[in-house]
Amino acid sequence: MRHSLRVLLGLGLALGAAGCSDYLSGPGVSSTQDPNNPLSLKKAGPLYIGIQQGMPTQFEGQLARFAAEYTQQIAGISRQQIGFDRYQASPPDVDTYWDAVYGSSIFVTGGGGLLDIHKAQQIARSTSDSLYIGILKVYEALVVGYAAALFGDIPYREAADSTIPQPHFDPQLQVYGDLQAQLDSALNIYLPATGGPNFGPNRDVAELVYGGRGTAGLRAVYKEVAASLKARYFLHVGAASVAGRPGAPPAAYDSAFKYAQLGISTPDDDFFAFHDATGVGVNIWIQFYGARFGDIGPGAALVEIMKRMQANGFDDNQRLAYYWFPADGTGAPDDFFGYRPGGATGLTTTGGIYNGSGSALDGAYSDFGNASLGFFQGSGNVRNPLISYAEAQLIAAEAAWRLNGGGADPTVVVVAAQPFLDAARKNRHFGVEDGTPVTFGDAPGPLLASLQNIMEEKYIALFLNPEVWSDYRRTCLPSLAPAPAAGATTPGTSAIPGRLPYGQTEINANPNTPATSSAGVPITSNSINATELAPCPVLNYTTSVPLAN
Amino acid sequence: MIPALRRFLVGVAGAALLPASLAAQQPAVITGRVTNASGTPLANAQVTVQQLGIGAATRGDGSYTVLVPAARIPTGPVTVTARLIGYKLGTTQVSLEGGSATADFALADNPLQLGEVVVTGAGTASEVEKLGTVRDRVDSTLIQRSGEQNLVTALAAKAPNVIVTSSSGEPGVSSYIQVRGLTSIQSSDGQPLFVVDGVPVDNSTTFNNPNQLAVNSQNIFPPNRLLDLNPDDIENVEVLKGASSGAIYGSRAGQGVILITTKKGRPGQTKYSLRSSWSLDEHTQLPELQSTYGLGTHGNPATCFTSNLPSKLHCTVGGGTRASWGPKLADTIPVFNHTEEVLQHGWQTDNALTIAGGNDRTQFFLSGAYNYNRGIVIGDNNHFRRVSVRFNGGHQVTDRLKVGANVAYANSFGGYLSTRNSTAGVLLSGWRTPPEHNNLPYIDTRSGIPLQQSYRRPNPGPGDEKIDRVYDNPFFTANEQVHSSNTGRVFGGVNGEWSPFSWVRFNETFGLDYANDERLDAWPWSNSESGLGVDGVGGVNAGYIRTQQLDHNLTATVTYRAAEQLKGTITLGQNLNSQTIASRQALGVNLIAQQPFNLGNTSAAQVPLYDFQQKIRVESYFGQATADIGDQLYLTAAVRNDGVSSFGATSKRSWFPKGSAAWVFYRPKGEAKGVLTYGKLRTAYGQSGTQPTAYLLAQVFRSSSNFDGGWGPVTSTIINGVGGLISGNNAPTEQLGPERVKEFEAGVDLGLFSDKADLSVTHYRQNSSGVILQVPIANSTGYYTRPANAATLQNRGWEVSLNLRPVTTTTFAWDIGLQWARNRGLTTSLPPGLQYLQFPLSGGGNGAGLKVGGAAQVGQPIGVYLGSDFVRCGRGLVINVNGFDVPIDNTSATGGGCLDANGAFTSGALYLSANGRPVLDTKSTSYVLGDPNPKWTGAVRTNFRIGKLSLGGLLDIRHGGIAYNGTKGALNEFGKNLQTAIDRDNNAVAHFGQDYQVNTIAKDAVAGPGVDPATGFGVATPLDQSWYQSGASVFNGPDVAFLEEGGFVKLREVSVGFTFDQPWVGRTLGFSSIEVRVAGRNLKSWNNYTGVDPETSILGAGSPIRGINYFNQPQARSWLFTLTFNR
Repeated sequence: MRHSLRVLLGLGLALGAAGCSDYLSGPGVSSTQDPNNPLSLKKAGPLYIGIQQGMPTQFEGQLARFAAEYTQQIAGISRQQIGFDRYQASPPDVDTYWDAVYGSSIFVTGGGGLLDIHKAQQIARSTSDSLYIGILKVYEALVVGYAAALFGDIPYREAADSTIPQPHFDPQLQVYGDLQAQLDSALNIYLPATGGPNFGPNRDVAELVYGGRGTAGLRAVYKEVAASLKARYFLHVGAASVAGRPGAPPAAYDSAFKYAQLGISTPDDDFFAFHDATGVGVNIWIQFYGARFGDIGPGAALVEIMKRMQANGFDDNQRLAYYWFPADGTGAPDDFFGYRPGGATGLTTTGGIYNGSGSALDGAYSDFGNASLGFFQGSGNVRNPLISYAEAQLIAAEAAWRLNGGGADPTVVVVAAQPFLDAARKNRHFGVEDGTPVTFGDAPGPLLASLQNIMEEKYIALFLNPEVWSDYRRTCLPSLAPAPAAGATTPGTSAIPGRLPYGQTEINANPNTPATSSAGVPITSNSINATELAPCPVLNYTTSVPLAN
Repeated sequence: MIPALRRFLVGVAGAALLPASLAAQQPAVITGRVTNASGTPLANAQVTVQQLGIGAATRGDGSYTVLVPAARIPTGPVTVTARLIGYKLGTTQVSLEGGSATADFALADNPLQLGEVVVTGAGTASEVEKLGTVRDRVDSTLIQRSGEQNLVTALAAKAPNVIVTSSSGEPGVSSYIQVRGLTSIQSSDGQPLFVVDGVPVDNSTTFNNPNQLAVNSQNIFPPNRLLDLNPDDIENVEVLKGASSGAIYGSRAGQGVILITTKKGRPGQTKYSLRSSWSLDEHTQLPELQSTYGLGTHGNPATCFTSNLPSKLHCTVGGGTRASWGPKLADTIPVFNHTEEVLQHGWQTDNALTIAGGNDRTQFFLSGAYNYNRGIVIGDNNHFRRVSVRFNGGHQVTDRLKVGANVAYANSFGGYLSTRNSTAGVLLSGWRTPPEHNNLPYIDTRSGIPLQQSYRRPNPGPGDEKIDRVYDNPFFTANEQVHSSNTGRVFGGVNGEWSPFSWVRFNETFGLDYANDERLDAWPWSNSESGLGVDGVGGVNAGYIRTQQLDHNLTATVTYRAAEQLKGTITLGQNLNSQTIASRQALGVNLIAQQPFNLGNTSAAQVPLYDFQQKIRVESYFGQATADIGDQLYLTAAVRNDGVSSFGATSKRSWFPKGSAAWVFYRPKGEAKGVLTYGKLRTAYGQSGTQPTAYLLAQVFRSSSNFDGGWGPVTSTIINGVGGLISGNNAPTEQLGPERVKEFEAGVDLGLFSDKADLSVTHYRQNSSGVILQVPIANSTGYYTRPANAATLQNRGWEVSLNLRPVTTTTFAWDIGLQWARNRGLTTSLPPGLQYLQFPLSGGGNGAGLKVGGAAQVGQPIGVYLGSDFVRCGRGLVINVNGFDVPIDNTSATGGGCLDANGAFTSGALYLSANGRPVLDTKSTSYVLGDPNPKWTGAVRTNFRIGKLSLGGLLDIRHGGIAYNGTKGALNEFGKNLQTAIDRDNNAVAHFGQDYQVNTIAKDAVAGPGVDPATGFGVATPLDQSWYQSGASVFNGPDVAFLEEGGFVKLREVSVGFTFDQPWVGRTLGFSSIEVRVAGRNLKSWNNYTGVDPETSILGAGSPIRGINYFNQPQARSWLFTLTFNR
């Protein structure tokens, strides 16, 4: 008896300690009850802010640097960027941005992609908020269309759905078609609709880009953005449309022409990513420039084309001085010099391809503007346009040129295109800096409406905008020679890349990922987009004849 | 009141009120003396009357007194045993009926440790010969002789297949330990569970808030938390290597368990020991830098150095001869050694005082220690200090109840340097500086304002106070930046042991481990730390990381004797464990005034703010039964059932069984003589697991910093006064069950040659299944990962240890210990469709370092390096030649092709373009590059003792395995690697395949248009700037170019000691003995690596990735002088 009592006492101690029935579950303990983060959302506002703030990473980060380097608006001159300038982008280099198209990325990167757009749309649908739905469709088209332009075939119909772990890749033309449908739905159904609890982002104080506009104002301006995007994407598929490629829409240039005129109607409506002067609000171009000082510099091609335009009386010095800081002297056009691609020096040039000419005085080169009136100056609170009035006008100009007998020769002048080129060159804007629009007034001219002039004006006006790379791939304008190989003094033998490789984690985890990249030069003629019918020719400095004004 | 409870309470009250010795009346007394075989008195031997459950310990002169209460004096003789570690059990019989008895013992040496009690975890214990698993024990002498401040570092080369990697020679640096390979991938860092005196303790390595982690995880270096444990307090360490031995810890033992027992007081005269040690530290091997070629320029260097143009861009970077690719420096131009100028001799002091003693019923151990380590880099921010105290006490309340407490407090304060992959790091910036640039004075006052000068901004002027310098002046980093970790930690527990009957024993341990780590990072104005928003404008990151662990462990052990030849124990136990982490950190940006480094002196906070809490709870029940059959076959079976809160709702509980058998097939009847003196075969099987981190299954929204590619730019979802959210990384999933390691182990232990040698051979086979992964999923799903039990891994290995004691006389002794081990890890399966799985924090992506680093890939060793390569034949690649895509595997050779000089196609050959150079392959960045795991490891230890003089040495061998030298690749780009200057001096050319290899591991066959048909090797190509800035540059070349052999043989320890314990020492100095020891640590490393010591880690103990080097700090070589005073 005494024995068993003692044993019972021992057992009692053991059982007493195990008393709590919810020891392994409950808030803060259970594996599903993370106390550190919201588990559900009732309003779309926070997601909408996250979506808007995902834009800078995509449109101003490394993807935009690739685009600007490939089109030689800028040059990679040190560390990793010099390799990127020589087209050495590999899958891990784009991983962050590929991931951000759809959703999350490792640690704290990315977000605000298609998954969040869909979740925000679901919340908006639950409250029948047509304005929100319409705006979110515009964002969906913006983000996914950007990805389709850069990567080609991408997952879309099966994407952002956790029940489909390995989404199929949709043909690029199909993706563009689907996005046109999304934009049509925004333009025709959701953005015009009124009545009901259609507060849109205003109720959540969530509109950053067009903050301060009322509900009606937001409906109007997002309709313009939607139309501009439609025009942009019709232009992307224009060549495929003319060639009758399966999946390409008929008469794409007509549609581009039509929607461009419904697009952004004034520079005041330009669409940009939101920035302010706080530590986490500064424009990413400017942050990169500061944090990786010396990795990128002005591109010789852009500098030289701008100088030529001035020399021929079609431009003034304002944009040149805003984009760049002079290498020396007073800031006259001759004081600006850009870097050749790949940091190359001593290039043998007789042909005058723009990235091969330009002799820097005293070996000095220009910098990005960091004087009192430069893009990269001061507070960093620069909101550079991602889709703009100027782009809409220049889309219309190109479409008009093609629809009115432009033909194969880019120097042919088409009168029907002239009003749109002139409109783009009037009242020139470049986003907003410290709350004030950056304006350059009217360009001197007139500049005749040849395709070359239209595209070169676009090349200048869309400074740092990745759309110039899409333009180059379609038109091979402006005339660019590839970057020389390391240590070489003649242009490389490979074409300027036609697209980017897919992200490394997608390749790793999705067996449906198409094999695209080649070796040595990642993206070449056999891996261009379906919308681009032929790769741009490989130019060299000695025999290629540049186009002239 | 029931008698038992009354007895218990009376006992407790008695203990509180009375000296314990008065608790019994008219006792019988057993006295005697315990000596060794040659008559030397032995202190601390435990003398026990087993059948009464009472005993005492011997005093310094070997004498003891055991009191037997009158009521318990039995009739007839009783058996008295004397036991001391290192000696065989002594047994004699006495009769107590006369009221007193004498029992003297002369204990024989016990080199095989037979009969010694071994703690086996969770309140269980066994004896050496009954263990069914290999035993690896490290005693206090070995730990103390290593002189390491970090216990984990002290375990290097102490047991087979226990591999320790010290991250560098920095003070307070973390050390990584891995036992029998990696059995888990992402849910833990692959390190064993540490248990101190029965209580699990934290050994995590925690980086500052994840905003920093993601951006620049490698720059600031937290310690592994076991650094808070004073190595001087440790009595011994038992390593439970695998699932078969660690299964009693269930779901926490997947990577093994390290059981640490701290020192206890002994009855007898109070002993004092003061150990004082001083060391001188210096750096070991470093890369060789050139000092003959100067700053390159794209402009006019004179202008760069004299003017204060707003833009200095053209001074230092851009095309042409950028970095240190400038002209050869004239002899008249002074040059500076940018390595030595920031390095100095470091030093360390370690003073430890211990007081231990007690009487037969109450013992105590008290220690206090102060450790201070000044690092080998100049400046005031490179040091570590630990103040620690410990009290271990035990009291025999009644004959049946024993209580005790072990409590330690430590304050660890580390001042850390920004190093490794940080643009504000000491070596990264210093080694990139051109040789002729004088980094001093690092503060330039020419403009009237004190401003940081660096080679990237040599002429700072007005307006430059808050401008990022791109790379900081290394003196500026060393003197002006602050990164500190200040931890207060209390850990320990109380325990009680109650034996209501001689056949049952209850044991309760209640433990606590609480630490609060205050972190401070401060970047002054003009700093160059990228990615946090503090570059230029300065900033402060301040906050705390608080961890707490509570552990209750209750066991009941019944001893049974079913028959004369069948006896054993049955243990039932319960364990409740709760671990919490709370951390809050704020990053203030833009210092208003230059000082102080305080959040209040910043004008903005980086958002989102960091506020993190985590709770993991475990509720477990376990049972173990042992059977000793005929004193030669020992069986053990155990099972544990764990409930863990971090698993999915449907799989919270799981079972972990184990079983083992040990057969002592030979044991000498009398004295151990002959070739075979002892033989045991053993085999064991067990399962253990790994717990997932908390909240893996939560579907969350989170605020975020979106940053750009790891190079700095940051935006936030919180902006303009409003807050945004984005979806979390994890795809929805509901199931998450235990990860399981199943291990089979078998071995033999032999005593040989009259116990002058012993040999232990062990083979093990481990299979990990259901390995918990955050499986990378296609990002087009919108998610990054999905938690799942997804992979299977296996580890197979052998362990051999051979100890030789050729001479063991009282005046001269020589022993040799040899260890050899190998582990072969293999990834056997991954989720369908997944090509490989990257280890966490492996440095992949855009930053410096391997594209992938350590990874799991089916059919490859666990931790294999994957990365980028040059174009090789046979991979189906297409290369663009003159605007046309040419499949180079096309043997037609049109436009190139992969043909060698004989027109033959060789798969795997290095493709050379027409200029004789290989071409970067950008198609894939996940080629298998090699295995960083050593092929085998070994250690050789020896010790001589000649009278009072002892000499010892320890050699640590890691054979094979590769390491990644990213530092070299960066120094190539910057023209600072010595080889670049040699090649420039010689106008060197390379012929690939003949006299130049893309890496130092393998020689390549070559093919393609760049092959010279006459020689079969590549045509001559200059080893000039363009090569070093492309193919041989870490920024633009393939990872394969920076692989080197990572194996080494290291002289870990050499020591000479002399003990003064002659009578005059006591007479004149008042000490019983004084020991003087001079030791060298890490004196020499033999390796073929061209960077810092290949024992290095860019991520420290926070990640299982080894051997990746990107401006890692060097290891330290130390000379130690130690004085120990005993009284």
